[in-house]
Amino acid sequence: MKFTANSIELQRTLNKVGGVVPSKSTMPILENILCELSNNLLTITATDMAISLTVSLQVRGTEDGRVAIPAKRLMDTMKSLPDTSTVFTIDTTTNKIKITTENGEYGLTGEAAGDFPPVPPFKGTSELTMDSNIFRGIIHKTAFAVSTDELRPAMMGVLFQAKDTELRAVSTDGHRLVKLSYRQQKPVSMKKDVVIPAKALLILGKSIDEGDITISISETHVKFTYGPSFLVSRLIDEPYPNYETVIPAENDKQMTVKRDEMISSIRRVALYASATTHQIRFDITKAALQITAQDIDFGGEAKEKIPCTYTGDTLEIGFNSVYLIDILSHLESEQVMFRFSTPTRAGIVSPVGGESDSILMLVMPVRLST
Amino acid sequence: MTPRRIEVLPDHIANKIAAGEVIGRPASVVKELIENSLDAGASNVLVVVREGGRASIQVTDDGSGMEEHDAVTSFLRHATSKISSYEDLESITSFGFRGEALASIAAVARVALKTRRAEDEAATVVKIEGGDVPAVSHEGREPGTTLTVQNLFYNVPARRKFLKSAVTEFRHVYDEVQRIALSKPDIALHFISDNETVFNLKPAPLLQRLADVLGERKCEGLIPVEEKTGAVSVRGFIGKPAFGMRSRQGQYIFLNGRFIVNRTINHAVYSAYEHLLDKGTFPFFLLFLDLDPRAVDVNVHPSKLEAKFDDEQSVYRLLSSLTRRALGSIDAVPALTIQEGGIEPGTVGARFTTRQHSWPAGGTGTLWSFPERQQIDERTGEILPFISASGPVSGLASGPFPGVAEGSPLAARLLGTPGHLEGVGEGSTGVPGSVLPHGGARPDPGASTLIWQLHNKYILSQIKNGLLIVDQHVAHERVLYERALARFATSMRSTQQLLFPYTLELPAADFALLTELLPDFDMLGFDIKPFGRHTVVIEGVPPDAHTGSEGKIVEEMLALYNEYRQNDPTHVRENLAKSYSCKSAIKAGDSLNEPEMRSLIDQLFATSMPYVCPHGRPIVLRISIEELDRRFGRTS
Ligand SMILES: Nc1ncnc2c1ncn2[C@@H]1O[C@H](COP(=O)(O)OP(=O)(O)OP(=O)(O)O)[C@@H](O)[C@H]1O
Ligand SMILES: [Mg+2]
Repeated sequence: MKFTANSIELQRTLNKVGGVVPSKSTMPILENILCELSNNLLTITATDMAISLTVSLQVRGTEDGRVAIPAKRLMDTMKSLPDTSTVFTIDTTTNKIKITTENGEYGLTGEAAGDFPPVPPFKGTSELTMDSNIFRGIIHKTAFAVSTDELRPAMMGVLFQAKDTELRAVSTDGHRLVKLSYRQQKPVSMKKDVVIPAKALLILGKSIDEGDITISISETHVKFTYGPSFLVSRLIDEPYPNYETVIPAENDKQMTVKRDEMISSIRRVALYASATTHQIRFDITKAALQITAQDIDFGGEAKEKIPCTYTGDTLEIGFNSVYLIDILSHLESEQVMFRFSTPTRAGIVSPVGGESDSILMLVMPVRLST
Repeated sequence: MTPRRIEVLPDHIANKIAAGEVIGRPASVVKELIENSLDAGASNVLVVVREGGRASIQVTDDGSGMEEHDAVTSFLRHATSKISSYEDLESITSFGFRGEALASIAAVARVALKTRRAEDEAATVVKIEGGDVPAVSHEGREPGTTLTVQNLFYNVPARRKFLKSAVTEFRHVYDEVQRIALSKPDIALHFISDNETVFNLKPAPLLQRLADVLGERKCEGLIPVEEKTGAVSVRGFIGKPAFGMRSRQGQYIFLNGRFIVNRTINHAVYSAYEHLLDKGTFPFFLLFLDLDPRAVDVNVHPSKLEAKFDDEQSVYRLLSSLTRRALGSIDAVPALTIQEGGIEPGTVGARFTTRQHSWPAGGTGTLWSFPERQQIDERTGEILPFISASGPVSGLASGPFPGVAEGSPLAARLLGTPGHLEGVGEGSTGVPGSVLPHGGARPDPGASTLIWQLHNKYILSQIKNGLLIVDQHVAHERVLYERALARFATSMRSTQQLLFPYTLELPAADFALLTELLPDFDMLGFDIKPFGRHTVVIEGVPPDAHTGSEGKIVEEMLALYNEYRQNDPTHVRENLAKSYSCKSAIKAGDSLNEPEMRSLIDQLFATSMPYVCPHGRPIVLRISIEELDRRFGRTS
């Protein structure tokens, strides 16, 4: 097996699959990436058994072949090379890999391609195609809010639901929730609701290019195909919590603020909040939102006021500032609207004016006692 | 030389003296004789016993000695040179005051007294058998006194029968001699049993004496204390909690130099340790309590082991607060010491055992020195780098901003930030270190800030003089425990409301218990509402509770609370705080990233007791560079 590739192009391609390679695994073979050369197409696959990602790159092929190459060593090598052409010469019986550049020669030992777990056969059923950029946006706005707690596996993924012409994506960690609706012309062809691991989506977000992305779903897996690349991930087979019932309908205390202004203000004030709870407090009156923080343990307090328009009675409500910043920084609009009911009920956050898709976020308050 | 000659006390005074058995076993003879030597101003005392004192006991001193008349009188009942009036009895400053000891001994054994004052030519020898008429003769000897007691209880078969084996009697004798050795470090004390030296102690500062008697390693676990308020002064040492002992053996209170047993006083010290000690273990302490002899009565019991304080309450308070402060303020990090033949967790958990016949002939030439330097190190040099280098609000811990919140689910609990997925960052291969912000906002990311996680269980960090090892679970437990107690104390609390309330059905008994504890759960930050029969809804949890297990945590807390309640039914909130911290803390096996580890350590060292978990387990261990050097044979 032999090919010539440009170091920068190869590095860029490797970066896409790097996130899949597990650092610690009971299967050391997974710390490799599978490289397959057929003519001038180099196909690279990485898997952690739950997610496999295959990408490809045009190279100058000399001799076809397959081999598994240690991922970290290869990536580190490419990263430290200048923009140069690299020649890979691989003995597929001994799995010795020789990389030759104008700087010198590097030898490493891989594993037999046959030892690398094959991508599971995928028998997809329903298909949905959309613009990659739009899909990347959906990922960006939802995946951040998932739970990382393995005790609640369903919440570690993003729920995708088809509602006629609407594709709905929902994520929550039990303290906040995002509901995003993307409408298209024709009905969304997805036969069942699926929960896709956020990890797969985040990896996908890093590797999708321009063009279309096609989503296929099987009983157990989801497959994303984009250009010559594809990602297959296991689905999360756990019932998703009934999110619709927790979205309050009666929140009538509406507060509109400038998003940027609010983020900066919260960031400054939060520096004075307890480093473990990150609690801040809103005191909302007709014309102004006062944001305060107090660190009981170590001392320190901060207070800021920003203008707002508010339609309810004076309200005092506490939040984890991290959640708020997270939520606000995943919105795009210039202004955002908060809708509250009581200091112990969910607050609704939504953009004011046009975002391409309609989005609603919930954040649970922190009840403060003084 | 003796300021007063021995007089027989008049009846009206003698009757005031607590009467009863003075001599119960060889050990009591030993005690009485050594005390007499000390009262006589001796600075060298030699104690020789055979067969645990059953065969013979001999105490020799270089004290004042007696002239002939006194030597004979000393064996009479109520014959004493130490008090002469009722007022004297009210303010006793000597060990003896009853004039009973020698008379009691002479009544049940063969006794020989050989004594000489410095100003006399020859020594007087008095021999008495079973209280018979004394035989007096003269001999030569150095100034001082030797008392020889043979065949104890030879004439009281019933008593002799009840003597225990020589080994057991030796143990009792040993305990007596040891107490005196500990209380009088300025006295040279040579102790021989069956022709073998048990110890031969030279006068030394107290800590040196403790090391000589108890062993040097025991002393590493001691915290010096000293305090004087009003009429009472206390000084001595208390044992670090991790050095708890399996029995009450190591509890020494010396009241004006006299070893006493006083439950109240012991309790004052003991209770200050609270939960710092494992169940079934007891603290070591050795305290010299000095107060005006008029403010205390030792004439309570013939054993002279008891004392009545005029103002016991203030003594109690003093000892209690003193102990509390000492425990809270000092670095109680047990050092891991490595012994020949392998690593053992050093003095941690090592019990104070009194070895028979096997003490090193101590007292001379030990390399050991007062660990003042070490304590300064411990207080400032070794631990403080953590605290001072990072400041109370760790720059890393307070990073809710993009890029910093990367981490495991534990981020939420340690950093208060929602966990973000790891290993999907730019160019990440998931290889450790590639996503971690290194050093971050730490003011001084020097060598002292190196930090590692071992087996997802322990946090290792380089400290000034070696290696610090932190048990992550108990460390977090301590942090949460104190936070929980603070919530109880201040009613300052907060509750993270839940988007998906958790319905929990409980067995009837648990439901009843939870209902009863609801106000306390509320103070901890839970928002729990009863919801029909045996069911509650959890609508909010403390912000540091383990996300995702809100229902489970309440259930587990109840189970654990039940367990704690069995042992200690009175401290409801402590028990609840303990249950909460145990169940909410990160576990062994949870992987932590660097900011999480740093944050945990910062929080730990901001607690009042970073060294022992609420259940008494040690949180931190230290291996000094010297230990490592020694282990690697790198002796300098
Ligand atoms: N080793 C000694 N050196 C000098 N004088 C001694 C010594 N032992 C005893 N005496 C004298 O003998 C007296 C009687 O001793 P004894 O121990 O019987 O009574 P005590 O010490 O006065 O009171 P107690 O019964 O409380 O011990 C003492 O008061 C003391 O004067
Ligand atoms: Mg006496």
